[in-house]
Amino acid sequence: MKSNRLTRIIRCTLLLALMISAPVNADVVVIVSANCDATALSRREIINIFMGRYRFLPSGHAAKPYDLPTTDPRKAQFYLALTGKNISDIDAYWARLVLTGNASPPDEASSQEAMLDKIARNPWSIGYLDRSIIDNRVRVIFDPEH
Amino acid sequence: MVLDFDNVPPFPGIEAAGDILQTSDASTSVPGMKQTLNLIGNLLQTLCIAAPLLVSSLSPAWADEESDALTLHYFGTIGLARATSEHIQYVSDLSQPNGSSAGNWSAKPDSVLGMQANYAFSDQTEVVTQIVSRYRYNGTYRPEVMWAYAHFTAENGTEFRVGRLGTDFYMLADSRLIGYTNLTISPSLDFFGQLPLFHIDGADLSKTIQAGNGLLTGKVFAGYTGEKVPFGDANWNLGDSPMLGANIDYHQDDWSYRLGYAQMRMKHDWPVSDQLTALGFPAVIVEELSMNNKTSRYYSAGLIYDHGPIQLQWMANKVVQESLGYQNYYSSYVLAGYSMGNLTPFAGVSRSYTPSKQLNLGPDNPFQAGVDHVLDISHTNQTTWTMGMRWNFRRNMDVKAQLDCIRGKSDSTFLFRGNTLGWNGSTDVFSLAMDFAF
Repeated sequence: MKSNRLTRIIRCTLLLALMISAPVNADVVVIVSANCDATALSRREIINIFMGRYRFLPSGHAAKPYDLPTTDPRKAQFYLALTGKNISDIDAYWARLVLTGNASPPDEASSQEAMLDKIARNPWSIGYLDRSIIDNRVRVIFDPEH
Repeated sequence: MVLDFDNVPPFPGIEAAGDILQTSDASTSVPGMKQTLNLIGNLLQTLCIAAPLLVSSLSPAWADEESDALTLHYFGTIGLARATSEHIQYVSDLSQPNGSSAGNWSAKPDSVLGMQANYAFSDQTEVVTQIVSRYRYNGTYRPEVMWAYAHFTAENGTEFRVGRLGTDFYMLADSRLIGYTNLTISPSLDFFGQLPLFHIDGADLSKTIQAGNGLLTGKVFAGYTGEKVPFGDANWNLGDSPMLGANIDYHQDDWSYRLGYAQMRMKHDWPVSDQLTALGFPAVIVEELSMNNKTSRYYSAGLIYDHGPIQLQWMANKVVQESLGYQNYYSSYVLAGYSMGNLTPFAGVSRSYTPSKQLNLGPDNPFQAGVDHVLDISHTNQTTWTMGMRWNFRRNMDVKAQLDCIRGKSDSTFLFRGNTLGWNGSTDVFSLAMDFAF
């Protein structure tokens, strides 16, 4: 009896550990407003915008990028897929630029829904979120996983 | 613009830590460990005391937590270094009067505490102030205004900054005090150690354009230096010296390249001139060796490769001194790191060298030995082998351990302090540090 309970506890613990440690595998895509005049952006252009190197769209308009909150695992997934760097390296990158006054990281949207609203409202904004929640106010312009 | 805190009362806690840390010179190696733990405690205490004081002194707007316009950042390094040689004092750069020696642990070379406030009036206009406490030329940790500038960005991406600016005429030079952004505990002694300048009061203008498949950035800057360095028992005022320069950066995918040039015309002479005059050296020799109104020219090149877990840096510089009393300086380093999760082992090698200038006064001239001694002051000829490990143990914080094996000639003394008879050019430096940046 005791042995069964112990086995159940161990199984539950292992399952919980797996759930905690399993990487998020959302289908994160880069989106722009449906009214944005950009038809395509390359990986290089998206890296330049999100990493603060050159924040202009091909049309010449200044791009306005948004990040998900640091606590959202999709942020780490997005930067890993886009740049190959883990979130600690991204943090160190931004610490260098912010603390030398050279650039600022993207403004933060408080949630995926807030991100969706911000992108939908501004034709020059650009963000990323799970493909499953996008609607017809925005469109996918890049898939960092491919 | 007078932004130095030398003439105002220090922040409590920071001065206390400075005094405590200063007394560590007298420590010996075994009881030194106990003192070292006390030092860490005092430094942490200083952090807790100083941060709110700095915040309240900087910005009453801190109370307005809902404001998006104001952002505050903190960074720091609690570092300990232990140099094995008893014949030199190991310092992180020439702005420090002493550091670690004879196997004693010292918090002086690497410990830094900083705070930065950014206030954005709009997407185009921002003001930035940064205050840093570190071990300085006068043997204290008295905070210094490192940066205080207004930053304007035009619609076309042209950027203009005016005020007190970081010196970035070497690649990464303006972030070298922010340990969390560096792979190593402190940047290469051979490359950055001879550069005690951290800011200028002036302006810079930069513009980035697309060029080929990459980005080309040009920057010009001009201003006045504002710092002092310890020099024997005296100080050498490097301030008020006009400086100007330009950089060209090219960035494509994982590669960044830079070419840089800067020049500085010394406003104030070094203490050597007065000493030579007092010793009866002829005025013509003193003038040849003086630094007053002499120009220093800095040429540099840099390359960074940053791809996924791989980081690679290479830089080289050449400093040409107009004065016959100060050696021309050549240095270079290469550093590589590879991230494996939260661990990043790194290794590198650096070299500094001054091809000795000669000033021959003729046979049997009684002043020749004195002249040779002056030329020896700025001589270096050494290689440093570096290896270490960085551990990002939590967001925005890391712990590092590093070993530097410095191997040079016995006359390679420029990058150290307090060299004594018996120095053979070699010392090992073991360093530990915890960095944070929020």
